[in-house]
Amino acid sequence: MHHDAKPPRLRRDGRAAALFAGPSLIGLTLFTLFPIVLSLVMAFFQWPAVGERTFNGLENFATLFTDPVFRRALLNTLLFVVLYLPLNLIVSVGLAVWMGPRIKGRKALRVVFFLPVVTPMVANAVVWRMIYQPNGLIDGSLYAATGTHAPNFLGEQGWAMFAVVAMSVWQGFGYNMLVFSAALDAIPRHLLEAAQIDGAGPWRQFFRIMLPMISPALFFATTMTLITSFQIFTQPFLMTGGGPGNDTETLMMFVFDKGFSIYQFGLASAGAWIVFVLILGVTAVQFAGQRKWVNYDV
Amino acid sequence: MGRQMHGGRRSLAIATAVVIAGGLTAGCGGDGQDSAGGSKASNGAVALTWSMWASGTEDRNAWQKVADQVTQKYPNIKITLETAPFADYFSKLGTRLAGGSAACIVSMQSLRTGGYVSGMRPLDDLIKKNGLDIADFDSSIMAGLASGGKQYALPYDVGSLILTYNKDMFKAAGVPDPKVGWSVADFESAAKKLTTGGKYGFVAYPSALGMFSMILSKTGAEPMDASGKLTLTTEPMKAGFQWYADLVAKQGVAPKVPGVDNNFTETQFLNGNVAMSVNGPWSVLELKAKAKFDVGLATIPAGPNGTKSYSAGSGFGISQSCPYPDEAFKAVSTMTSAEVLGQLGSVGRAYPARKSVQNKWYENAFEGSKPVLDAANASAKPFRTTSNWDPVEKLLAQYGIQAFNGQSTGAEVLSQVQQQAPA
Repeated sequence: MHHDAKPPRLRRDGRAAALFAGPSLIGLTLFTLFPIVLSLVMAFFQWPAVGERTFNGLENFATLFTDPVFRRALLNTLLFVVLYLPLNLIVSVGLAVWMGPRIKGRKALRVVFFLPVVTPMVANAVVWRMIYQPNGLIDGSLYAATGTHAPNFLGEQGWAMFAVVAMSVWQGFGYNMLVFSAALDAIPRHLLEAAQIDGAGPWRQFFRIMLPMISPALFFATTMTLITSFQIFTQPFLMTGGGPGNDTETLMMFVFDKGFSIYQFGLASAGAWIVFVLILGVTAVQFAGQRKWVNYDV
Repeated sequence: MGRQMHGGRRSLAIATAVVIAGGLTAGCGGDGQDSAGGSKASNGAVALTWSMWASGTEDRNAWQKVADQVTQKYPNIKITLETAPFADYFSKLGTRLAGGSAACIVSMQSLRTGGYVSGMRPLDDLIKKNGLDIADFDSSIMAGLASGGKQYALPYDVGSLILTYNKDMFKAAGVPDPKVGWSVADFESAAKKLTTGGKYGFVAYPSALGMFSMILSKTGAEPMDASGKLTLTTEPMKAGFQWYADLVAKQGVAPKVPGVDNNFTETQFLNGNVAMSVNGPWSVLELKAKAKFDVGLATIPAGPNGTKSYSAGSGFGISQSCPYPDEAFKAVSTMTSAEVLGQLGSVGRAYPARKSVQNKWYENAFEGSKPVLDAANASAKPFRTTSNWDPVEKLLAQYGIQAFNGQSTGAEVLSQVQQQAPA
């Protein structure tokens, strides 16, 4: 058959498809593709807010890697990821397992644990500041009970990052918990019953059956959580402003400062692309490694 | 491949091209006649936008009234007010000036003028052309809103920094009310007596205007030299900064600073947790209205060379991208006219930048405020800043906290800020 002799319906389908895809394509191009391309271009320019824009090759990247504040922000971000990711997974898996089918009011509990995810971050940050601050909830009750003062969590070096991590875990675990909870519910009951009959204790059941069975969910959650934790911004921005010193200054805060405090858009774009490459690299490693531990067989 | 498929692909390609072109023009827009800053209707009526900071509906309504007054005077000028909280206002402004999409009339604070002049239009020619008499404006704030010999905004308010104090706490602690010109020693002993039962005598925070006013009075050190360079590492500055930080760290007469929190001093004072805080007259009447206790005013405690203070204020300028500078200037001169400033003064919204109507502010102020403000104004000099002040302010808060909480010395903090601040 000659290749031109296709039914005319296909032609109409193509047009209709273009028409339907149009609106979202326009949105995608205008608000996603165009800014992405522009920011890549900007990363290679000296791009001040007002005035001459000049091409400067890789100079922005060189400036960043020799800037001690940027390197510190990079380390802070890695520290945050290393602390936040395992804590988030342990808490969310732990609670999901605990909320097994036999727990009373598990639906209500799920909602309660999910609440921090849907409440606005700004409100959460304000409340947590009241918890952390001198004379706040922790300090106040500790002083009343023992007569000693708690550390000034957000204002003291050595404490601030842990305070930010703790608040972030509280804020973020609910989402993963729901994912794990659903995955656990999907495990066929007979598997666990068979293991029980064979004499497997609760730990053995957890490590040998539950964990392998929810490994696809675990993979999804790890990947998504890792990506968002590299982009950590709102919590330190609202609670510590990057301080004390630059103890809690993260990569995205650094980018924000360069972009919207001193208006060096080139430098800010270069920083953002470094974050992007970092996330891309880590995600690629995860995808490469998943074959070894993610189990899609039922 | 069939023609049909090509047809489908071509329409997609065209759609994409149109979208990209649209995106490019949107991205580069702002230099046309109908830029975001203003537009002209066929009947000659001009609509201008005005960006201003405001902290709530009440604040916004007060400024809306000012905008309406412009239209009352010039029926062909309509002003659209856009507001943002003060903390976000300048990030937004910088981005919009950069994109050429700033409002026509922009509000500017004297501290920050230097950083935004490249996006603003000098007003000198318009002042001359319109024969505007500027002698009535307080000269220190006119200087604060100028840069490189050019005037970038006309001021609406001005103020020299002073202390506000909680009269009830003073009375309860048996401490006499501070007198005009009281000394640092008087201040420290009062603060000590007032620090009791979980309450503190004073609240210190590393925010530029308040902190540097106190340091100026204590040691005479200034954060900037005559040529406009940041000078944070001079000996008098180190000594003054250490003294101020030690009010928290060593003397313990001020509460620990819980991380970066720009509202810290205000909330501590309003909660009745501290007895004294540094403030500008622009916030005094609002404080008085909010406080559940009696508020008093005192001069910044005097160091070896007498009491000193900084003054600061704000005004309205015109953006470079504004297509109708003549109309915008008419609006700005109405918004800073004696009539409008008198009204703002009598409701306590601003301490008027025009000398002829400053008396209006006192109609609503409290007893004893005039001698304090007169003394403060007489001893104040305009707070001048480097051309890129926002990062300095941010670094001071970020690193200053370490000194205030006794984890670094003042000298270490100041050299960090000096080093990291953009030249």
